[in-house]
Amino acid sequence: MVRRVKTSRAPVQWVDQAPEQSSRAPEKAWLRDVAAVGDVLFATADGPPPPERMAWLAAQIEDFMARMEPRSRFVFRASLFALSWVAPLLVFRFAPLRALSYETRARSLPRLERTPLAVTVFAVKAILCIVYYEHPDAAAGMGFDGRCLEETPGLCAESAP
Amino acid sequence: MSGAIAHGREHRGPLRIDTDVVIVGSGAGGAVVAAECAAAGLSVVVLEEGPHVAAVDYGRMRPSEHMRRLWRDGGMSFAVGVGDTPMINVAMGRGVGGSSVLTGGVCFRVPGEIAHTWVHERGLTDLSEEKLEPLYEEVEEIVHVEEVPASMRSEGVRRFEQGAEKMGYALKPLRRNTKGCNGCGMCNFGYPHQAKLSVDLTFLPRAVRDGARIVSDCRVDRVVVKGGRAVGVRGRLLNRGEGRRGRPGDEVHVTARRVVVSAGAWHTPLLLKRSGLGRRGGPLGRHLTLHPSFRMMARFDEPIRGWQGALQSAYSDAFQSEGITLVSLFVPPGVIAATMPGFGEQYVGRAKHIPHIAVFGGLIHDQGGGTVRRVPGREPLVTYRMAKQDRARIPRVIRLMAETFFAAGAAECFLPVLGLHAQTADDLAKLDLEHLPGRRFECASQHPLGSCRMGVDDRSGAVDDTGRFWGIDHLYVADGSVVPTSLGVNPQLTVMTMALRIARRMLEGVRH
Repeated sequence: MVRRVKTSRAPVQWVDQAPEQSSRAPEKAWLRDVAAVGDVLFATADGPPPPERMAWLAAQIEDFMARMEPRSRFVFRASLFALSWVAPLLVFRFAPLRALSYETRARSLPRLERTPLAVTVFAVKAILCIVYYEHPDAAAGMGFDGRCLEETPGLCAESAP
Repeated sequence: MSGAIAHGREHRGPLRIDTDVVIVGSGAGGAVVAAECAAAGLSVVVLEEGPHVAAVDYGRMRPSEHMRRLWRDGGMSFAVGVGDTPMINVAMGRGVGGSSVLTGGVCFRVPGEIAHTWVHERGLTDLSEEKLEPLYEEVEEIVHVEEVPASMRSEGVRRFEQGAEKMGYALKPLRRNTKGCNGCGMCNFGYPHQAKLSVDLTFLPRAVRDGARIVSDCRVDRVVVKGGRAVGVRGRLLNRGEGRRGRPGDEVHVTARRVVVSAGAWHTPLLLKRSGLGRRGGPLGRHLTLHPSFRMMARFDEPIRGWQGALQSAYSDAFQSEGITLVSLFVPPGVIAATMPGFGEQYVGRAKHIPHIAVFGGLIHDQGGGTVRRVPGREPLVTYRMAKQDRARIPRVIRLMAETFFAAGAAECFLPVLGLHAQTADDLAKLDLEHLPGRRFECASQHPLGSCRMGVDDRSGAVDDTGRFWGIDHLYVADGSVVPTSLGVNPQLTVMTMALRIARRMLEGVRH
């Protein structure tokens, strides 16, 4: 018999609300590329985000990619490759992005966004941003108050016994 | 319901099942068929490729976690644009509940003129509005379709409404399958309070109550056909490997008196083709429609906090004669940030304006042009060539939404054009949108339909009007792939209703 059950009424907290902090730089080259792009993308007037935030971002992106189909993983890695190797060429540097100074990276990446390879920038930025702004500090920094996720009464769903 | 689900990931050893009905896929189509067949006393097994995550658990996931675990390919599936067509990002579910878990909950019945086309132009006389109406009513009661009250509209939608009024058109309230929604704007990414009644909270618990079994993490590789009759399916449990993603392991053999494929408009034709079905040049895998969709983000000087309100609450059909439907939406702030142009200080500065951002969406009622192709690997290659008239609608829908926001007082709009910075009203007037190449547009789809469409014969459709695959006995298709044409509106309710109809017709055959 179908019965009505009250479902969770506890205040909602995202599973990973307090992510582990680690300042260790990623070991894999492609994850160092992720951090090199993230540094520039999320920089403020005070400079790039703290290293532990980038390490967290890289770990999350690694988890994300591990769950992808091989083809999508390839598309992401190929897009990242374009950012890592083509963007430096636009400022006449012949080295991967991760080997360049922050200032050089900050000059090269926006240029790539204005070329026909903009779609690769979009692909990488999309995944990085979705994850980055889930970090509680980043979410708060952009003014997301999360109040809508708080407890509300009167919720129920149909469920089997 | 959790107790009735066998987690293929944890099962060890081959799985052999004999059943009356095997259903491939647990989304809006498969769940309805499972509930109906189980209620009729048949033994039912549902095989789902994705994992089972309880609603209370996915409700606590961050948006990206939801995407990683319950969206097919983490939301990175694309239809490749052919000719002057954009790449189209297509969102689909991969888990118990299928895509119903990641919809905004919007429920439309089939528009009258579309049903008229089905009956009078395609000869599908049983798909008239009148004949479908009682089925719609049944489904609507089970999934609790209700009108979204005006009080649930977010400030962003109210602003758009003000602009629409100034431009001479009106918004109408949407209907959604919700109960107790408090408007946290998260329906696409794991509704935190289980207020959206997706099929894992409605039809699947009913099926389980009546004895159906669900096997998650179970990939079906082919339908077994003997003597012109479907007799079961073969596949593998995704139970190998210690990583985050299970790899194919132990074999699955299911023998069944009826086989129902409900794997969605991308994977249903792929599975059937892989099973050696469908004639060369036939309709299987062709005629895919996508409802190419575009979002518009507008920045207002005042805070909007668009996340406070129902994720989707209002729409406009004022431009339906032009093949355009406007539908309200919101997405989590991080996802909005993902579509903003720029880098560094400039970009982060824009992201800080997210509380000031309102969002609206527009979809094109497309003529089709998509093809699902079998290629090496597990996923299909999907190509999409936009019809000329659909392509011409892209700048129209973008301008329409931007002009509406400007009429409401927006300071600037972020157009869905790659690499284009925020536009003021003056910028928009000067912008040559009409001559931008298709690849510049940022396009998405949530409604793949029609790749295994119904037809009156095997030349016009892959299945007949009861969902039976042409030329193969006891093989049925029940998902969005059978919808004969693009709908121009969100299809979830129609997919469920057609699945109910298919299940009933199939059961009539079983009884006889």
